[in-house]
Amino acid sequence: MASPAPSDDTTHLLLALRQGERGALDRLIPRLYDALHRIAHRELARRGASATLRTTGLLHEAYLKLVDGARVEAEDRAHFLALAATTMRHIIIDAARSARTRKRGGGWSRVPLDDGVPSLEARIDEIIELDDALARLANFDERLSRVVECRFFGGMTVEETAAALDVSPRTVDRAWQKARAWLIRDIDET
Amino acid sequence: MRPSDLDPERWQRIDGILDRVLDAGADDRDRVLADACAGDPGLKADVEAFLEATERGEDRFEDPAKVLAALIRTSGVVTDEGRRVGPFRIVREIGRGGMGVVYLAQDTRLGRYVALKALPPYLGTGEDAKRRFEREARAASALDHPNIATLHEIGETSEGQLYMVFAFYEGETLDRRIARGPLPVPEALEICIGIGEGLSEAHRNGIIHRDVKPSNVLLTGSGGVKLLDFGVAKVAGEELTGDGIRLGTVAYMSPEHGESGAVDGRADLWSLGVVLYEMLTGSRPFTGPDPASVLRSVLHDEPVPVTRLRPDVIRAVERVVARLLRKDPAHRYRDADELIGDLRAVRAGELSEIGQEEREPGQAPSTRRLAVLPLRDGTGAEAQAHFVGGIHEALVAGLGQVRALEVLSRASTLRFRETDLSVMEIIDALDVDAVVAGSVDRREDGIVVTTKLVAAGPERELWSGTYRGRPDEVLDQVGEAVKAIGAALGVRMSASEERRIAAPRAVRPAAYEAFTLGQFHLDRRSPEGYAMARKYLERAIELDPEFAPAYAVLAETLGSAVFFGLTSPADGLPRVRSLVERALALDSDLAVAHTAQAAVRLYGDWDWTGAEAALREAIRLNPSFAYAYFLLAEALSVQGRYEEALAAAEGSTALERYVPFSAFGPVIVLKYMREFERAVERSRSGVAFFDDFWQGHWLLGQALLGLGRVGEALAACEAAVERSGRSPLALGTLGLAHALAGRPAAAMRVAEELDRRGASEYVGASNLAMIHGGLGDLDRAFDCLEDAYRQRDMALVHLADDVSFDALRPDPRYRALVRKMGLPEAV
Repeated sequence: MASPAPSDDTTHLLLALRQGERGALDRLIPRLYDALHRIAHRELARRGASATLRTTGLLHEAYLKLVDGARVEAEDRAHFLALAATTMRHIIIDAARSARTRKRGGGWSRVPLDDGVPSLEARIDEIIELDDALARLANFDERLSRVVECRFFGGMTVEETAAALDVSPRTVDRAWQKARAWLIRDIDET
Repeated sequence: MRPSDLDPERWQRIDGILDRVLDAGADDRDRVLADACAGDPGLKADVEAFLEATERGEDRFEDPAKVLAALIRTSGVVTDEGRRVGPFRIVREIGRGGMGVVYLAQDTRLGRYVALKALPPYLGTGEDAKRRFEREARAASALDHPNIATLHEIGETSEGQLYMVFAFYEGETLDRRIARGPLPVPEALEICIGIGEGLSEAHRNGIIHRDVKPSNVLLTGSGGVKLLDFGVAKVAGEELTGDGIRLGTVAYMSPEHGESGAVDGRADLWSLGVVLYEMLTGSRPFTGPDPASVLRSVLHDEPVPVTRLRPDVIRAVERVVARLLRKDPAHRYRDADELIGDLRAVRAGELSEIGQEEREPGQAPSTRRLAVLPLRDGTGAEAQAHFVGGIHEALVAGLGQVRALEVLSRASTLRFRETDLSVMEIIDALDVDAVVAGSVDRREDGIVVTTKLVAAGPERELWSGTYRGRPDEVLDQVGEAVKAIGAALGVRMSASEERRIAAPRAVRPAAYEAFTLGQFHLDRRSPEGYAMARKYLERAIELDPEFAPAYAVLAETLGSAVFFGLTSPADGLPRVRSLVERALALDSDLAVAHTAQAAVRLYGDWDWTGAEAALREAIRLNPSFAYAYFLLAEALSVQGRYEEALAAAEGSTALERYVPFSAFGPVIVLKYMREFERAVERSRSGVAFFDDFWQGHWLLGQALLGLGRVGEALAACEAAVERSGRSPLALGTLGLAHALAGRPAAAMRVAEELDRRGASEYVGASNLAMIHGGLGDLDRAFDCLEDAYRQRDMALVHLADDVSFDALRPDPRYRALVRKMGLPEAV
């Protein structure tokens, strides 16, 4: 596999993004996707068979690896994290959907998913359901869905989310509660 | 209303109020909410719906990275097609297992296709583990043999992920082959020789495989056998602990591996023995609900002999399996070459007595086929015949619980009750290794049971024993005798077997006597027999309400009456169900209770897999219980698993070849498989032997209908109707035969008889359905099927595959009903 990207490339892209360079986003996302994937695998490899992962840890490590902290400001860091949160959402949902496809006999072979993780199947269904509901929420109230992406898929704190979305922490806190209520109702009342 | 259905303006208002309420302190919320929604209860309700929802679903917002971690762990490293691993481009996934995911990949340097195995992420942990892995893999890559998959190279990705690159072979793994059913014996032997030769080469080079199992054996299209994954298990094994050990792997693990982990090449031979067993029987010799109990079984249990599950396996093959599965490695084959020698000899048919000469003095063979002859009634009193029979039955049942013994059923031996044959001649006639013979005397002060064990060969009395006691100690006596006979045969009993066999329980003599009478009448397998058996068994329960076997045998009696259409399922099965529950509550180790439970699940609940599970439990408890194999054949064929069903039916025949029921088991399965030629052939020879058994003629008639030989079918059905005293089951098939023979008037007369009798007795409506179907009156046929469905007519479980319903197949109502019953779609 390709070696990790040199950090100043990503830093440069991040800065370019702030200056409104549109192509920067398209180049940043795949880079983040690869980096987060790699970090997740390496973490599991390093920490053994029963280790689990934490989203917050993954994002922060990606930041440390990819971005030259001395050259960016706090605001850039927040934007980076928000972007990473969106990317995490893709990674998790892609993995969940592909697992579900395999499970249902799509693709080439039917494989058991349940070895060692009895409730995994249920969690996969839940998370895909949540992602679908989140897509509906985005159509309805984009702002709330962004908060969910940061807080849930990015594991970001209220403060980090506030900085990334450029609103007050209190607004984030309320939005997080409202969004959760909205999603839960959407799922339960379907 | 779903939140996304709210109109945007409404949401704006709700959103604003929610902000205010959420901002308010807990005490203040009600007031803020009331103020904001003053005079608009609908709005208030909308807001409250959201407020209430903030309290639920916490667990849905758990860190999603946990799911990601689990997904990565189960899906291996490379998740995207088209991704690269080192110089390899992933094409697609071709398999996965405990040791990682295997991909078809292309080597971008050479252009050739390879099988790339990505090991689980946690195997890359630590430099030591990596070095060991490299060392093992390097040694394995030096092996160059047609039966060993070529290992091209090993590598590590930049993430520290280890992978192995093998030559790619087209083919399928042996586990998938076995999943389709047991293999023909010659093919199984061929594969076993192939694996053995691969192992021989590896062992010569000092490499132990350690993980020989079907998923590690690849069968290539050209008939080749390739052993995969040398060296992986050693490295992996050091990393795996606790729940990392997988069921599939433990099942093939040798006792010494499970106990100490210290192994040599003979551990691979054990695993190969398990593989051979599984190829021959379709099932594993050591099983359990979790790895710990599988391991316990590996360490302590003797497997059910191969020939029991697969009667067409010659005993020479069975002996090879048994020798591979010896607990002590010193008693297995010395090495793979010795094994290959034996397998080649078997294949060439040179040796039928392999292993005989290897038996050390005083050492028993792996399995013993045993018959308990009817005990001589030493009292000469006619009135005591049933009592002597009861003790006979108890001996048969007790010995049947010993896994290493194959014990012929009581019914198989009854024809030797009065015989001029010598013991040796009987041993020959029954083809057994030994017989138990003896007598029962009943005196004023108690009972005296005298027994002896006589082995084949020059007449050899291996053991004899005399037991005295009060009648209520009879069961204890039998337990003692069983243990002593086992010991005399050199059989190793597991602790659980000993416990089951010993289980002494005093029973009231009068209850036991009534019980043995009930058993005696059940064995007659006739309508009067069932009625009498029921009477005595109910009496036994009345006398001793804690006597579990009485409940179980009564359940079997009532279940059999349903099976033969004497009682309606609606009347019979609820009672059977409660009797089974009672029997199992008193003694969960009663095989006959599990069998009766299976019948309820199969015919009453239409729960095929539940029935199968109960039967497997019954067979585990008493591997010599022929009726359990018979019902297992039913439960499997209902699921469309015909090859396994046939093996089970053959198993029941092997145990009870002189009991018509069991003798016809394979015919029933062949009929469902639509192998009518074979079914006719087998039932013709069965009928010649058991002319009185009306079901034999009936089955013959059905098989002949399947071949379109209607004239002969009519004759066979007439014979069945006559011998059964006009059973509705036989009449249904007779009516169908008339209809197919172009004799509608005769068919209608049969239908009318069934209709008429239905008013006063139980008549399964499926019998009418098949006649009307044969006459082309489909509407009427489906009306009858609807009735049958309501009756839970037991013939319906074979709606999908029974030839009697062929005329109904093209109709959409047929498929709808098949689906409704949860049967596999019609063949």
